[in-house]
Amino acid sequence: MPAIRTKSGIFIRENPELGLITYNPFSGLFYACASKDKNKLLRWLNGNNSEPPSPIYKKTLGVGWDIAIKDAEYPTPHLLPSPNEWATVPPANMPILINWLITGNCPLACKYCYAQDVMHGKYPEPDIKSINNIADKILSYDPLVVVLTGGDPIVSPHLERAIKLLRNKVGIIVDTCGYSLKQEQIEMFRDYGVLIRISLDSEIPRINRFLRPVSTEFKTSNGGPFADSAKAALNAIVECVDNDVKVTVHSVATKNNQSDFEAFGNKLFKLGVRGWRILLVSPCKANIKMYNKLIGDKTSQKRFYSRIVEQIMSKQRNTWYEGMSVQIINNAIPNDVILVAPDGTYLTESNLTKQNSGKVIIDLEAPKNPKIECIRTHVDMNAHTARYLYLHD
Amino acid sequence: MTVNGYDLDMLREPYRALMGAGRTYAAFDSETTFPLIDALHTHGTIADPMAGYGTLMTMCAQKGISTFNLEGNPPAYLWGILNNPKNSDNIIQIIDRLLHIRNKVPQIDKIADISDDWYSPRSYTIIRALFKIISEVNDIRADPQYQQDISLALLVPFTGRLASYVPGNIVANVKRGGICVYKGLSDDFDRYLTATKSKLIVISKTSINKNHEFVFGNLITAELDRKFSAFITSPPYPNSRDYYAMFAPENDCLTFLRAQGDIENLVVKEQLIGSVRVSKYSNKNIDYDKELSSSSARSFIKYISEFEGKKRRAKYDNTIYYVPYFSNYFYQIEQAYRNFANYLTDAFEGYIVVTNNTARNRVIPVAQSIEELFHQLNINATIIDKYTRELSHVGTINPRVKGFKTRHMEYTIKVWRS
Repeated sequence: MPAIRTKSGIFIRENPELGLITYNPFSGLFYACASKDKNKLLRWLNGNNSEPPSPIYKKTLGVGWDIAIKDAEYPTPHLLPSPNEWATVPPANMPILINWLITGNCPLACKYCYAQDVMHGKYPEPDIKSINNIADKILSYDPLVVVLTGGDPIVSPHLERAIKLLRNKVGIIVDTCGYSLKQEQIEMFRDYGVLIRISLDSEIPRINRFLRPVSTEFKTSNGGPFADSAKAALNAIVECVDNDVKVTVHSVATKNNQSDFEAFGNKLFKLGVRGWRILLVSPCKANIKMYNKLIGDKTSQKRFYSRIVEQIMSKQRNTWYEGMSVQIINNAIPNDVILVAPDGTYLTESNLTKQNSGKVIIDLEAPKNPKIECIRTHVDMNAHTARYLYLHD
Repeated sequence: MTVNGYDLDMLREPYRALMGAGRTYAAFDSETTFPLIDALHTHGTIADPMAGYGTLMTMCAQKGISTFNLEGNPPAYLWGILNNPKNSDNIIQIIDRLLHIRNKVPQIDKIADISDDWYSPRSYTIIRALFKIISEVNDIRADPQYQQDISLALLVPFTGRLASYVPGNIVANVKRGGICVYKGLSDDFDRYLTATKSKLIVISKTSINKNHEFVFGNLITAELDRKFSAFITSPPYPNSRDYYAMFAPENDCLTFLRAQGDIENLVVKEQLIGSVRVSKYSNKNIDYDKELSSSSARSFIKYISEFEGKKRRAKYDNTIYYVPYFSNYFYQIEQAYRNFANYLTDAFEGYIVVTNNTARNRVIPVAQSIEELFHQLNINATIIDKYTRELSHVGTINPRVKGFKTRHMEYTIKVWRS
């Protein structure tokens, strides 16, 4: 069953056993809702009933259209009205989110780039015809959300086309470093209700520049208004907030930046950022040596969980809850994501513990048209569900 | 963070602590200090030649005793000026005038800036504008230098709000570079002024004696215009905070204003006593064996130089940090007290409150070395047993450290000449 955009703007999809899966484009968060609440919930989300089945729905799904973000609550796991409605949480039968790597080009050359092995021409760049085909194929899997990513989708000539093909059918998120963001793109995001995720790892420019340097190639061929990635990202955040585009910030945690996260979060909160996703750096076949450097030794990794995460979540509970959600994702299970390469090939990460296994094609017989059974086999759908419903707090 | 009912989140961490408790890592607390003040109350004025934030001044003011204070770290000195009861009523008037001015914070066309430096160019511009407006309403009739310092005293604690910085895990640590959010700046400035006014009203009301002098200078080189018959002081902890670096954004701001020709003086000419930076030592090559007069300090540094530890780098660390650092620390302490001894009357009484820290599995004998030094100067000095107490986690870099490293002894040394 495909996702539906309700009158409130909230996307929902019915899922056997699991219930209704919902996506709130104002907060960027997913929730599973108990089947018993379906009818009342739909009436509320479509504006036919003033009250939801339980007050917690209002404080989660109602954020951005029914209540102000300062009145939001962030219960974990994301199971509504309460986790008690489920004895066990079954996996989603269809993908919740698909990452569409619409281009392999990017202004930055991040040290840890997880997409390094699909970028810079490793998969052919799409033309307008393949954009149409890829979008149709993605929609055939009934995802609730499509993330337009890359590379940096901002530099793709097909970004607007892709958004137009997807809008109102699924929730749309655009991942960007913000380096080449233009005013007309910002207006497009606002008009089409796109949530934008801007990558910024550190508020200290020299640290961000180390982790996310501007690509020499890009600088030479395209120029660009900013000397470094942090300035570009901050400018993009400020412009989006000023233009009422919903912004989430994406930060990759490494030993170089994790100690500064609490202060960084304070600044993001003050800037009006709606959500902050922190992802622990994950290995990529093309960057294993660098990954090992950035993840730090065992003490540093232990510190991340024992101190940094605790510090951040405590701050979220006590202060940031008034305006900003926080998600920390440890990427422990690599094959919990579905990736669509620029040419339309469906990939996931290998689940082998060997770090250099890299990405794998989901269906070798039909790489661009994988059977849903192959997706269910190669992608860990339990982990996929847990990732977006935040089942492992 | 709320202090005395005011949300002071806009201030940098050291100033939040100062607005609340009046101290960051200063040694003085009322339990230790009030009996010492009582013991010296007949002397008229009590000097504190390493005054820090002026904690002793505040306590003496409440006890009706006047003070003379010397401090060489500009932000700490300015905090002393701000908290000097002598200035309270005047500064309250300045604040009232500022609160009545609309649009005193310049219009800002951007909600945030990011910088690798302590301040973005936009922040510097705002700081200059704020300094100008404070100076314009400051009509204290004093010499121009003092008038300037009063304006700075009011401005400097707030400049952190315009800084690009990341706070460290402890109050003394701060990293250069970061995002400065301008949104809400004007309201924050008003809240800061209101909170400061409230603090100054309390100081004014609770100070029985308002005759206090706060002077900028380093005790090692200071030339004072009088002699003292009483003093209470406390040297910086060894191997601990760098008080200049702790206020690096504020010190940078003062350097900037000086470079612009907006202010004069408040220059730090020599390394502050106890600074942990070894790379910039002017006295890096001190031969501890020849240049230190205290045998306890010499034997401690000898032990440090031979310390092998468990790690391979231990010896290297001894050579590049520990030995030059401790040589310099003890040298500076000796030089400072030697100089101060010149400004003590023929009959005087003073107290030095010292916390012995630990390094390389050994207690750093600060109290013992000071006692020795005064003996060599033919001045009586003795540790008073009844005031000796064990403290925990004073000045440790890592608050999670356990065991011996956390155990510090606080000594009070009585120094006198009859």
